Amino acid sequence: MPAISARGLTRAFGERVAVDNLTFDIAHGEVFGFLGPNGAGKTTTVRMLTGLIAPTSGACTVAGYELGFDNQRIRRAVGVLTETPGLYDKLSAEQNLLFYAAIYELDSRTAREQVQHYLRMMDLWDRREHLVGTFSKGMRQKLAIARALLHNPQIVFLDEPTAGLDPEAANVVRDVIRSLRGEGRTIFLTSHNLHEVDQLCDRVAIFRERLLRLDTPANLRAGLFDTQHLIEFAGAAEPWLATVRALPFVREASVEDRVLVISLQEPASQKPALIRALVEAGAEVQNVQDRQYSLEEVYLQLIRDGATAGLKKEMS
Amino acid sequence: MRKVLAVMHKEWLELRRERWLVATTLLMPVLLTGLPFGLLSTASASTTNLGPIADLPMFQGFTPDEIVQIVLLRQFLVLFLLMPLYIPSTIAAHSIVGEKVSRTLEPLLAAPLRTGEILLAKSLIAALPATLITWLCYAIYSIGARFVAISGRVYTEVFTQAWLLAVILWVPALAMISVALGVIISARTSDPRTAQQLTKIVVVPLLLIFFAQLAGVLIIDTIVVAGTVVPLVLLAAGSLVVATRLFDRERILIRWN
Amino acid sequence: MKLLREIWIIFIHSLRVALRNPMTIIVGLLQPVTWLLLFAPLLKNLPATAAFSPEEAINIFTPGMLVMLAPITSLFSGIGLVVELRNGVLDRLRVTPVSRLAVVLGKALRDLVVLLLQGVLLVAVAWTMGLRIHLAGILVGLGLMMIVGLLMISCSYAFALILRNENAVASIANVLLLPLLLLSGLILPLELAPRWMQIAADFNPLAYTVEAMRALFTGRFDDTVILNGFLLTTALAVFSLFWATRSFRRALA
Repeated sequence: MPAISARGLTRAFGERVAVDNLTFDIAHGEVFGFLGPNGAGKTTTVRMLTGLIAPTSGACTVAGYELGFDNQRIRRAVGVLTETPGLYDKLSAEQNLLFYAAIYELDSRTAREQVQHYLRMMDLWDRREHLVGTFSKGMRQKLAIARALLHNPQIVFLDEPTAGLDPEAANVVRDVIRSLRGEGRTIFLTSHNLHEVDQLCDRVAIFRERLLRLDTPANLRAGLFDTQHLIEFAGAAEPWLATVRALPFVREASVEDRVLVISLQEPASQKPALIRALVEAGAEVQNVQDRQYSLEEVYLQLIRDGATAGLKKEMS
Repeated sequence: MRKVLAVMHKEWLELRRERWLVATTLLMPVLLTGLPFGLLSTASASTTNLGPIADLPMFQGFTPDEIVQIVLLRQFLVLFLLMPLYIPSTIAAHSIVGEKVSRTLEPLLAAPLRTGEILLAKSLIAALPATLITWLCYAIYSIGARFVAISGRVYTEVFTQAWLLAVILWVPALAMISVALGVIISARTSDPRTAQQLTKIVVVPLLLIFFAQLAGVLIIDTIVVAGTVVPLVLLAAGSLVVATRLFDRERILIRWN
Repeated sequence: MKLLREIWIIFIHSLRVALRNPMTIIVGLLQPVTWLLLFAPLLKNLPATAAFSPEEAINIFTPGMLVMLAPITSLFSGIGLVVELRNGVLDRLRVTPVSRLAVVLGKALRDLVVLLLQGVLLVAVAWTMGLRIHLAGILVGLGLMMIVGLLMISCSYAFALILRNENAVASIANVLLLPLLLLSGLILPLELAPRWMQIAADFNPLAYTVEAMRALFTGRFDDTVILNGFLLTTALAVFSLFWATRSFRRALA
């Protein structure tokens, strides 16, 4: 049984549909990236999956419990880092954690051990007696993550864990996520930081009110665009444009920045023939390489398509 | 129950840091308990005109000075019903809206806590101190009044067993009613100011008692106390249940982002 | 004039923010009416004391209620400011050349408009319950009430800016409210109290305002208590406004 299994999960606020017909399965131990622009419905999704708000329609199981029937059990089984850290400013770091440890019904010895463990892990042990009101944004975020982990949940929801952090704090948070992954926990990570999702996640869902695409980062990159070959010459590239266009298996060719950009019908088998044809025509080929698309380009393309599709849907 | 205690402990730690809140919570009962003594030390039939009140049949057989003392001492007893309503209202009004404004409510709602547990803890932390303070002040008042009273029969006329019973039983019930109302308002509003302002309405019904007693319409005896305790406790418990029912987790989260 | 324009801009902005939560305003408006409706049966059944007859009660009570309305609602105004202070709304003002006085007055104006509506509503309901109306007197009286409102709002803002904690502001408001209410003759009939307490009540500035208000309601314009009440209340309002503005300057420095 998957750790999280959503079927047609939908949430509307009045007329506005915030999350539309979301279906996916997340395996145990998977790091699942949930990527979308601000206002795409990521927080609403996390709130639904953690039983904070009810879906308008659809069904979902989390940690084997049915959402809407076993919310109390779901809350106990998962850890949540909410959109805002939500720590008590007038309590010390330690008091904040001990409070939540008591709510999750850890016995007092385990509570103290866990609190110490995570405060050390987050590098906050020396500041444990300081009021959270005096903490920096990064320290708060680390403390809030510690709070989400205290009761050793098997499923952890992290809603924008690095948003608004300085690069150093963001790196610490990413290291924490990596180590959680090493412990075999299931992680649901929302973000609008592509690089972060690319680095950390096994699979990525690109989301904007609807699920636009769901795959591994590598497949996402490969699946959306053709592979393009970039060929550099000793001299200008323009003269060779006509040569390659004449070849029957070249789909597209253009010149960008003195570099010839070519798409082939079957890249793997046709690339050698392409180079041979150029060399035979007298070209001095200096360098040949494949263009790598960043996840960002994939993402922007999908979000744009998603927006157009949404617009079409609205107009029809 | 452990979770309720945990929330109460957390509330307690937070409240301790509210110096102004603590100071004023303590100052108010001191003022209210001190006021009658200051008044009584100078009050007599020659300085206080009770008008037709002094002619009420229940005062037959008392001297004019005694009547003034009885009326004043008895009127001030109502302040000990005001305290459990007024003292906890600030904390109660702040209870939910405070967590909304500081954005600490979402993780709390995401934790395995039932709404009833959150509200019970927040109500108790407001109602308990108010109850204890009121009881203490009543003890001081009733002991101090012994020295101020010009005759023994003034004292026994005012400090009846019925009033002792009323203070013991009514005070915690009134505190819980006031707090439950405050929590409802606090949960339904997104503006701390409105919450504070609206909760002050709890003192109004008390004025009914104040005037009714002054007019001699209401005499608080054992029968009145015994007859009202059960309805009051039911009202207190009922208000808490209503507060829990009215606590709309979703609405609170959505309205706040 | 620049100041007036700035006040207007701040006023319109804060009114717009307030209107996002219309329920709050509606409930706030109904609050004094609720008080009056709860009090009315009480006043009817009051035994004829030396002070006034039951028929007189509504005429004595309404002006007092109008004066107390200002602290009951306005003393809590600062709480909203604390929230704005923490959310960084006020920080944005820091970089603007807007006069700090305009900020105080603009924000206060919104609360004063709500207060005025409450006052009008209160008088209207009291009229249906038998209040004798002296139109000119009541109009001037509403003006007096707004001055009390400005006094209370300014004090509340000053507390808010100095303490920066909504619980502290609420606590102080509570503590001030209780003696103001107890000693204003509104709840405790002062006639019952000995000299001692009447002297204490004389130190309650609002006692003079209540007297002035009662004179206005009966149209006794030649009564000196009106002038005294106005002068004292206005002096206090100006002083507290100065205090609030100074606190603003410090908070945004």
